[in-house]
Amino acid sequence: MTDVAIGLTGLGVLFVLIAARMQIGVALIAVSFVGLWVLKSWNVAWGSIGVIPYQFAANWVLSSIPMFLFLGFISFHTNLTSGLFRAARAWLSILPGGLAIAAIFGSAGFAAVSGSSLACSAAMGRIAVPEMMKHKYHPELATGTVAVAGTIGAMIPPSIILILYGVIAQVSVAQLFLGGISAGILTALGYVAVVLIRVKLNPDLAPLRDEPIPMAEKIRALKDTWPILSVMVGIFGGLFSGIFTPTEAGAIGAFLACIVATLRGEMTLERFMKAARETMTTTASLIIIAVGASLLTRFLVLSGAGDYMSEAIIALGANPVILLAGIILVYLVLGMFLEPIGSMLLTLPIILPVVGEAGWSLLWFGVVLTKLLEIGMITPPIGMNVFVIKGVVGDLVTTSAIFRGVLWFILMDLMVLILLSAVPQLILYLPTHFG
Amino acid sequence: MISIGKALSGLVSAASFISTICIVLMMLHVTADVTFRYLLNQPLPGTLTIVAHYYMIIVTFVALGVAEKQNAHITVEVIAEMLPPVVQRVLGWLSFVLTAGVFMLLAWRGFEIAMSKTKIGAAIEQGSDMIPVWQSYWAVPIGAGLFALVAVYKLIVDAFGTRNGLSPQLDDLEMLHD
Amino acid sequence: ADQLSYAGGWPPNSGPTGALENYAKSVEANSGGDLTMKVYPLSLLSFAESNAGLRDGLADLSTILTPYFSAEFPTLNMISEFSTLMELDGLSGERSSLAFAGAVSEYVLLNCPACQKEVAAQNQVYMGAGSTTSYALQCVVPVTSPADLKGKRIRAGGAYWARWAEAMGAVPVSISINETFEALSQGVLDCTASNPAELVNFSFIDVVKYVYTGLPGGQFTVPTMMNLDRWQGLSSADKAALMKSNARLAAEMTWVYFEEANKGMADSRTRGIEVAPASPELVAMNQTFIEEDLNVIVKSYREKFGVEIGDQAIAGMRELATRWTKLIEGVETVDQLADLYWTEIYSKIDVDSYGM
Ligand code: NA
Ligand code: NA
Repeated sequence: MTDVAIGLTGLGVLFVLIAARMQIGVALIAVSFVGLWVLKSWNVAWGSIGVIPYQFAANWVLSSIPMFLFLGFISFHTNLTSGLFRAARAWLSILPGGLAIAAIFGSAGFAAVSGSSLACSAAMGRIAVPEMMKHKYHPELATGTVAVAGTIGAMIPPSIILILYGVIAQVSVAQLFLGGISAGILTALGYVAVVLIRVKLNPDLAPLRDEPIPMAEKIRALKDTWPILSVMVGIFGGLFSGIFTPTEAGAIGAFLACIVATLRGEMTLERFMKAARETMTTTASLIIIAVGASLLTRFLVLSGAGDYMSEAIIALGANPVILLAGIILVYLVLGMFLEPIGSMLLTLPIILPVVGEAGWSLLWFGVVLTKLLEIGMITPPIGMNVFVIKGVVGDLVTTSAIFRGVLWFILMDLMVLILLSAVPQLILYLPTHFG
Repeated sequence: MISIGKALSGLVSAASFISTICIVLMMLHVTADVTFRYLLNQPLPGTLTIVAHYYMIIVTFVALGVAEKQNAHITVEVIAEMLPPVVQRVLGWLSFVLTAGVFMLLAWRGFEIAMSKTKIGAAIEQGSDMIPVWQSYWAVPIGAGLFALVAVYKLIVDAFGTRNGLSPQLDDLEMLHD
Repeated sequence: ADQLSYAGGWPPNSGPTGALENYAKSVEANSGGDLTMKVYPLSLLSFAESNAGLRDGLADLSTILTPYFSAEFPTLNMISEFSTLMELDGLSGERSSLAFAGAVSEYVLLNCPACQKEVAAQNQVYMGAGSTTSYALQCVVPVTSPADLKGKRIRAGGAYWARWAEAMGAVPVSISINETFEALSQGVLDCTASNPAELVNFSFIDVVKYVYTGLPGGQFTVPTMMNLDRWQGLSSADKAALMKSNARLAAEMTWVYFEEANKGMADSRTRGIEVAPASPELVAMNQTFIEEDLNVIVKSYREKFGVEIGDQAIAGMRELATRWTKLIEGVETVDQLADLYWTEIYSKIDVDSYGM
């Protein structure tokens, strides 16, 4: 058996284990361990499960994940955000699927203070899913919307993926951030369109309120948004006035949320500990999967299976449209299994020279790549954003139901991708005019 | 079996408490670092290292068993839920076996590493300080070992139909019915 | 052909990764195709994972940034810290990294049994080292006198720079390199003590206004190590071929950083950033600090890690730094540098007994 064949077989086994409802983190670690053993030696396999799990988790930038999760959990348990949703409901209730649309706008707003799509889904999932369920939204629509809206978190700056890409491809991170803004907004608008269309086609998905809301009540609802807005202003203000860095923003945000909740008399020790406990279990269950994906990446790199899959598609040819379609396909396939940073690290050594050869802008490609990697966050079988939402809803909605809810949005994502590819100026306008 | 479950419950509760405290400390420590840096021009030495090597490592590994007890680990039901109940039950046992096996391996390996890091007194240089980190390596064998134990216990309880001494919490459900 | 794997911690398409790829070509050429090498940029091992990964055989060769592993490589770290020697009169100069890479490689490869033992304890063998150019102070605010340094928040990426900042009355701040750009642009930091290559590599050029050379100094040593079992399993001919290429890698790596630093400073000037030697007053203060600090280094490595060879290493490195400053005088190209390293250091190693 060649090395590449071992790698591909490993992926096959992984697929079977995950389909057989093994825990994903466990399956990833098991396949990588046995794969490295077969491929190299017992020592290599034994060595990797020693060094990689600890080193992966001992990461300062990664610490923003539990902190943004904690911010979300605190906000939820102390009802910091319910005002936002009362306001959103009041103002958007005339629209079909108003709450789902509010969740998308909420994610876009939260994206501006969150570097990762996971933290964004986690926070908005906590806030919006229970609200939608309470209002008899179809579970698939409710959970699907929030899972996909989280991906806006990695498009609108700050973004951990864009920072890593900028460092690797040697593109200015500031320029990438500017490029990400329009792609993020376009994505959000696309999702809003999906909600409107779906609810139009099937009004039962999101029942409308019976009576219209008087203007006075709408204005009153706006006033209730101050708690969450003051936390957001604190995070933004601190970031842009040089008080703290994006990684530190999560902890500061959580701290601010605690203070605001205490001032409103909503904080109890019980709620505080509950938020911390949920943060801890969610963090552990997410990071152990990322650890597994990180191990799998080494297995795929050493076996050459990652290279093999990418090159097979790139070999498609000289026609730029076919080439781009090939690249998109590679990332959609990789995105099914790998976490974004893993698949980015795995493929950039091969993809970047191709991008250079095709004469594409590295800045444009970075944003398109982020979009592609983020689609991977919501595709089965391993869709991290979906799992986060699953963590929020517990046993009430199955993972496959959430994946079904996501499907519609993936179609829109593909259309947004085509638009961004056909009209690169959509991404390049802000960096060229304001960079 | 029930008394073993109670004992295990005690261990998991302790793990849960320690990890929860780490989340809170992470928030306070980073906030204090930023405050001291901004107001007094005096950052707290070693913040990055302590956050990465202590809080993150403890939360990641020590909380694994807690997540297992609460069924918070992530699986995909897409295909499995279409299978007959008997097959699903057997797959469930297989899952416990695989989890226990993988994490016993990680615990054993983590123990070896923790021993060697303790022997050399592993430390990280941050600024002009050396911050000892060898202690944090013990979180891996302890956390992975606890995770494996919980999986083994759940396997025995489920396979032999004995009463479960581990009481799963219902936080997530309660949340939705608030 | 026998294929070696090299796990590098730098991103693809970066200068240092290019140096590793040239190393791979050189290994193949020098061994007549008997040895080949595949370079894995960042995908196989990160810098933090490199030591354990190399020890356990995940890769055959890797760049080991030893300051990441304080307890494992105290002797090598102490010798690297002596790079501040290159700021002293008679040794300083824009090409001092070419000399320091020669000096540190010669010392470790030929004169330091304690270093060899330390590396072997990690199941590795030392293959020589390149060096970055001297660190320069890169600031968003002007720093022209010792008084200006007081209270300034300065990113310190290692022990020397932190001690330096404290001694100058500034505030050393630990911040990850990937966050430094934002920290500078938002005012979390006033300055960073960084390699001038990072002006371009981490976009500092978009935010700093002043670059001061000769302050605080200090160079980062970039050693390559090989898995010990893998080395011992090679034939004499393959070992000789590899050793010849090691001279080339040390030269390529040092040259890449040298050129990137020059480019960083040239591009900065083009942007209207002030790039100049620090004021004489500051340089004098810096040199006084360095002389005192050398003894602090020796003392602290003895106390913290039981490194006993400090005083003799300082004397040895002073002598070699002087010798190498003369040797590199006529060097104009990377090929000449590689030849010089080969003749003066790497050719003198008996590959049959080295690392056995
Ligand atoms: Na964001
Ligand atoms: Na996916």
